[in-house]
Amino acid sequence: MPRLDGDSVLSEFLHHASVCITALGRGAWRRRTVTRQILEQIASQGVGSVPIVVIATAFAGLVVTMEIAFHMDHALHTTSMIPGFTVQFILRELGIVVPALLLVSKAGATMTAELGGMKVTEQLEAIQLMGIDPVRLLVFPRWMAGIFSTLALTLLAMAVTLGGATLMAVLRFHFSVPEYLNTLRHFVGMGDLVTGAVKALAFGAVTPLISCAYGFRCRGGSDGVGQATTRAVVSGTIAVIVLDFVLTYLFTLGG
Amino acid sequence: MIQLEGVGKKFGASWVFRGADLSVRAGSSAVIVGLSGSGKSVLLKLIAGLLVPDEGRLQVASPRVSMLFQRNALFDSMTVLENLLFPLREGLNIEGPEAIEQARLHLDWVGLTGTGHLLPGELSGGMQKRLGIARALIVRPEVVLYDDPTAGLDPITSRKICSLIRRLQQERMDGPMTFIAVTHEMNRAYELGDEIHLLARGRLWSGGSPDQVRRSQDPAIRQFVHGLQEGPLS
Amino acid sequence: MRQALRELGALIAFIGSVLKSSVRPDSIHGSRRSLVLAQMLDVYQRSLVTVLFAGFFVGAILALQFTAMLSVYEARSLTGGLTASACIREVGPLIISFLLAGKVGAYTAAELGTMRITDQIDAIECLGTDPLEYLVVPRFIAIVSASVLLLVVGLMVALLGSMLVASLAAGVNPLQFISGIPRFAGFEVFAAGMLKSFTYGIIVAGVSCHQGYTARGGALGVGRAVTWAAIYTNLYIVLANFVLGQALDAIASLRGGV
Repeated sequence: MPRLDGDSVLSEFLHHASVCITALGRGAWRRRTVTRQILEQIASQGVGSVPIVVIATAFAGLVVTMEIAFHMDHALHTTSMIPGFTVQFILRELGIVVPALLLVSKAGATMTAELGGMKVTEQLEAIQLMGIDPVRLLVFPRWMAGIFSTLALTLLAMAVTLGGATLMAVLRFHFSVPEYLNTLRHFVGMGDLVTGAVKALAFGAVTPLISCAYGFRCRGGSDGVGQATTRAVVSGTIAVIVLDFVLTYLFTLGG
Repeated sequence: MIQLEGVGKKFGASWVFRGADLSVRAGSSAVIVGLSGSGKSVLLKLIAGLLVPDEGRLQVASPRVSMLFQRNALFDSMTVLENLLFPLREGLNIEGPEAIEQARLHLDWVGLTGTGHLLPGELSGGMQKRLGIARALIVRPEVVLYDDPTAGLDPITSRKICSLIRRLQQERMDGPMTFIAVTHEMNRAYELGDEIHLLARGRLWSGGSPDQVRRSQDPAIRQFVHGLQEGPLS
Repeated sequence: MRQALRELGALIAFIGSVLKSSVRPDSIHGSRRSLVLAQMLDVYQRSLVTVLFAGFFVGAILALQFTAMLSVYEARSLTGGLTASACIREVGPLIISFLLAGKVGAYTAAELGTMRITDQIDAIECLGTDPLEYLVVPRFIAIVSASVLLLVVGLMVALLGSMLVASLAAGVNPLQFISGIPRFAGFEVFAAGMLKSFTYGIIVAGVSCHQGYTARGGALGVGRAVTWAAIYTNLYIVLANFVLGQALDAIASLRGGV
């Protein structure tokens, strides 16, 4: 059994990671109660975040077209390449990072507050004393749901961002829809899809564990919960940015 | 049943207490009294295995240890009944009619008959405490740790909880139950404990039976029992 | 939808009364100045390291993406200019307000919310002090000023990160990198970025102070205030980003047309 009184969030994070991966390896999701919890978590984390993700990425799509047009006009004196650059940027960067950041600040914050609340009211200790591993019971379903929600919301975000971008290109820069979508085939390769999938998987696997680790390490009363939540959001955001850099670097070197 | 020799615990660089010796026989009860912040909860959590001592030896003869937490630690999103079914299902793999039967039995036992469908938030403070006790006992522990079982309760309810704890210990059918309770109220300590000890100023002062403690000449215990302003604890 | 609009109306009214309190003759001057300075110090301390760290990596990511895209045109030397321009006009204000919302906004909502539910705000009012002026105005000014100042600081580290990665990974000469910056990041771009940062700062400050200040319903209410502050901040910033982008674009094309 793990100790609940250690001091570093990092060690808690690593412990959660190892417990979750072991549970995954043993097929723990197949148990009926665990499956139900995973589905409940998907409903709250994933489905609950759909409105904010849709609104934010739709506008991001509109704006990214404007921005890319501005810069291309300035740099290359042509706007003909808007679709190509926009689509690449959305599929490699925007459509993946924006939902990840939104999930960190909404679903992640909710998880930290929830688990932190259980920690300060001694519920985690009560669970442990019943001979149940609180990490397996509480973190594992959240982790699985986090991976699934991130992947699904990334797909949704990409589609919505592309929609917004196409709309702006058609209305403002007079591209036709078929012309625009045609560039998808020219500029988007298998590599982009693999990059996107790997990035989304990495964000989905790492950020829920950060949120949970901060919840488990929460101290003090409701003050402590608020503090843990703030820290978790900031650490999650930084983790997304740094992971994004590392993965982009690896993929551009490899490609 | 429970044996502590020179146990100490520190957080960071500062010791909560050191050199605590304690021995509780199977089937008997001990009460630890002390000022708030003296480390009573820490001592219980060490015995429960939730914390690890930084020095000394600690032995609990049975793995079946259960605890009533200070703020009950009830699962607030589950109903009263689900709070009792949860440890059976997740901890002991008992499900279905058998589990429900046991849960109902324990609800009756602590005087919560007919409240199974409510949420813990809908119960009064005393009823929440009863539910916490039922949840601690449903796993059939040999050792129960009560962390300030009368905290925040009015004097009448608080007495009722104490006699409930005593009654449950005696009514146990499968062998003797050992318990340790912590409190800061001397009257509750006399009601609950076969032995009473004092935790203060970073050490455990050994007391004795309620009568011995009442007449104790030890200046620290005297000061606490009689609520004196002057003494080794101030 | 109706609820969101009502919320927006309440927010605007709140920001209005905060502004009114802040321009009162005695508020920025004299004894209140130290309150404002203390809050500013607090906000900068909380957010500086995070912004530096995030800015560096954001610059590096942009460099990777831009060099990959521009290499098609043999135009990698433009990386510096593009990174600078993208950071000032778009990415910088957004990332900084996002971090401010997470780090300072959530904290402010929780802090004011706790003061509200423990009746501290009422107590201040009873002492004859305007709680808006005493508690909210200093936080408001500190967050808005941080949003603008951090843009400059964040931009510096972003350019540093971008330059490092562009030269190490894509072989862009640092001198070329730097010399390309002025062409893209002129006064207008800078002004646009500042305007955005200023607006987002007002949103972060306004929403988190408003949610905290009007919290009710115990510790749970404080939690709700924090969560809703984050959601509304993100939402309003996304909307403001679009509106401002369109407005700036319209201004640019008007001037271009003349």
